[in-house]
This record gives sequence, C-alpha cells and structure tokens, in this order.
Amino acid sequence: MIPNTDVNPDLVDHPVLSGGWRTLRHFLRTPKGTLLAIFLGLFAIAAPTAGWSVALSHMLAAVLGATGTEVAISLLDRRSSRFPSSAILSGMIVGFVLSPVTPPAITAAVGILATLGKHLFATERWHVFNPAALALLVAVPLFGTGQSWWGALPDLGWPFTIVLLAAGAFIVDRINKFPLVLSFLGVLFGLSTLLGRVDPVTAAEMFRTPFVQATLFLAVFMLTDPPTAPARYAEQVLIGALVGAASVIAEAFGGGQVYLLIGVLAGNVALALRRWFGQRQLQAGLNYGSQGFKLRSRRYET
Amino acid sequence: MAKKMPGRLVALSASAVATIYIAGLVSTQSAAQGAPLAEPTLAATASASASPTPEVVVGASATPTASATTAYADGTYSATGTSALGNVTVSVTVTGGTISNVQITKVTTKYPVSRIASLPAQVVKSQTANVSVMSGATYSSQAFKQAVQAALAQAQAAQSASPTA
Repeated sequence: MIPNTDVNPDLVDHPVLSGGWRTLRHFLRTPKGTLLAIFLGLFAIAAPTAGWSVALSHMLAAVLGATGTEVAISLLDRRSSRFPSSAILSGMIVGFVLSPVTPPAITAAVGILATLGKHLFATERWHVFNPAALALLVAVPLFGTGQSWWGALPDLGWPFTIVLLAAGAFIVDRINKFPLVLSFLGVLFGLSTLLGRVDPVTAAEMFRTPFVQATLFLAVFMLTDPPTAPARYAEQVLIGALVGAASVIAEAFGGGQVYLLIGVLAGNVALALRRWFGQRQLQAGLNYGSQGFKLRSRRYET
Repeated sequence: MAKKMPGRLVALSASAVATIYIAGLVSTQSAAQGAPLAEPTLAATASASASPTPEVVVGASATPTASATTAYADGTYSATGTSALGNVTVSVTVTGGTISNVQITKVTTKYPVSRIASLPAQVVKSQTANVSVMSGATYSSQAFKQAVQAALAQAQAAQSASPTA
C-alpha cells in the first residue's frame, strides 16, 4: 500500500476530519475556492487601513446578508442545501466596494439585494445580472450609499496595485477570461484618453487613484463572473469592448460613482440578449428539423 | 475545457493595454496637476439639524475663545455639499462665536472618507471654509467646502436674526 503523504497522518483515523479536510482542499482548488482565498488575502491587507473591528463587522454584515438570503431561498424552494460559496463571494464584493463606515444594517441589506437580484432575474440556466453590481447600483438611490472600493487597495500605493493585478491575473487565467478583461481595459483607457480632449478633469481622474484601482478590481473580479461572462473568445472581446465603452459614456454623462457598474450591467444585458436569441434560433432550428422529418415521413407514407 | 489564450498573446495584449493607459496618464497630466479647468457643477443644500445622526464621524475641535462681535451664532449646523461624484455632509459647531468643531457625518462620494479626513482640522484652524483641494479627491474636497460654507451661512443667518446679547 502506497502511503498517502498528502494527508496529515493525525487525521487518518478521524473520518470526519479527514473527509472535511479533503473537501476543503478540493474546494480551494476550484475557481470559487481560489477566488475566496484571494479575497481573504485582500481583506487581510486592506483591513488595517480601515481598522480591523470596523472592517470585520462591515464584511460580516455583507456576507451574512447575502448568505442568509441564499440559505433562506434554498429552504423555501426545498432544494438540497449546498455550500453558499457564490453568495459568500457576492457578499465579499459588496463589502469591498461599500465604504467600511457604512452602517452594518445597510451593508447587510445590500448583501440581501445581491442574492435576491440573482434569483429574481434568472432563467433556468443562468442569472442575468452580476449580483453584486446590480445590488450596489440599486443601493445608491435606495440607501444613499457611498462607494470607496477599499478592497481594491487604493490607499496603499502602487506596490499593492501590483498585488491586486497579480491576484487578478491568476484568477482570470484560471477561468480563461483574458480576452474579456483586456478588451474592457483597452477600450476604457482608450476612450478615456479621447475623453480627455473634451473633459480633461474627468478623464484625468479615471487614470488615477482611486478610479484606476476600482477599474482593475471590477475588471478581474466582477466582470469575469462566469455565469454572466461569455465563454467564446470572440464574444468576450465584443462584450468587454461594450462594457468599456458603456462605462466611459456613463462617466462622461455624469454617471458619477456608478459608471463602472453601469458598464458591467450593460454587458450583462447584451450577453443575456445574445443567449436568448441564440436559444430561439436553436429552438427554431430544432422545430424545422422535426418538421422536415415529418414531411419526409408523409412522403414515404403516400 | 476550452483552449486557453496563448501566453505570448496575453503578454502582447497586456502590453498594448499598458501602453494605452500610459498614453492616457501622460496626456491628462496637466489636467490632474492644475486647478480644475472646468469648475464642476456644485450645489449646496442646507438642512438645519440640532443633533444629526452621524454615519461617519471624522472631525476636529478646538477650545472656543470668546469674541465681542461674532459673525456666527452659537449652535450646531448641518449642511450637505453636492458634486458630480457624490455628497459630503458636515456638522459645524459654533461656540462663543468661533468654529469649535467640524465633523464629516456622511460621505457618498467615490473616494474613501480618509482622503478628506484632514479638512475639518483645517476649517477649525483657519476659522473659514477655504480649505485645500486634496490631491486625488477633488470633488470630495469641493463638496466638503460647499457643505461648510452652507453651514456657516446658516450660522450667520441665525446671528443676524437673533438680537445681540
């Protein structure tokens, strides 16, 4: 028998612990698990600037709001309970974007909105909108929330922006979304440069702290959300360009703090329409195929 | 699983994006360094409040000194400055005719409140609303300034309305 050197021998005789350890290791190797590990790392870096107690209570409020709603919906639907990893990630994004000094009740409410939005605007196979982006956009008129994007490490200097980029590149490579991210960034920065000829002040800020860190955070962690991001490279390039253009247009016309979110949601709508039309074409093709078979069979019958 | 984008193509594309970014950064350098070329549209809305509920408390205070003729009536005044990127609400306390305490009670701008955390102390020190525009927080700084101006305007109006003691 070949000894399994990966398993802590102290756990071998504990079936529950060893099973849990294996499950955890398996989860951490998945894209969601990898992203969760990255988010925990970002939190550990960013929390000291806001204060650990403030940051921890703020993040817990967001995560509990999102996961509590997910668990409640699962119970109501009488579905088998699964680990709410998506809700945890959405909650953490909400926590990273909202200012840490946002009242916990409001933070939790935005987390709840994220999960509700995911279930309300969904088909059988996917949900339409990025949950965190939709909730954060709605929260502005609803609760008057501010966004600081502190999870993007804007106050820690350029070395930490490199850390953000490196972590982002790792997960983007893992889920194969480089065309989407690069297309988005290229179009956004390119159009912002052109915007500089008309509105230099607005354009200037989009290349600087904290806007650029917010843009990078959104590009690598929110835009690439697999259920709401295209798989094919050609579609990734098109959707990425659309999101970049929509973001710049939103900013140019006074989108204010939500210009990036407007861009992401515009991309979500475009992808949803593309999928819907694609399904209709597929269904029409199937119907034609079945109809053709019927016509052939009648020919044979007569 | 779909074939991944070749590493060389990723590197090439990333370099192109970086070049575009640097071009934009350089071309907007003058706008970033100088005063805003176009004054943003700002509007201050004042709301008198005896005890505002703080959502953010970033403030500064000073020991009041009595003055024979004062421009401001004693009290606490709350006001909001609005900019294209969000609002800043402040609470200004006047004691003995001087600004004794300034607090940022609510921020809805894109920037973290830490970026303008030093502005309340400037107001208390200078005893005016004329504060520096913080680098990287132009809109927040100007919204703060508008809010303080509006709060002080309330204090002046209250002083004009009340009979001198």
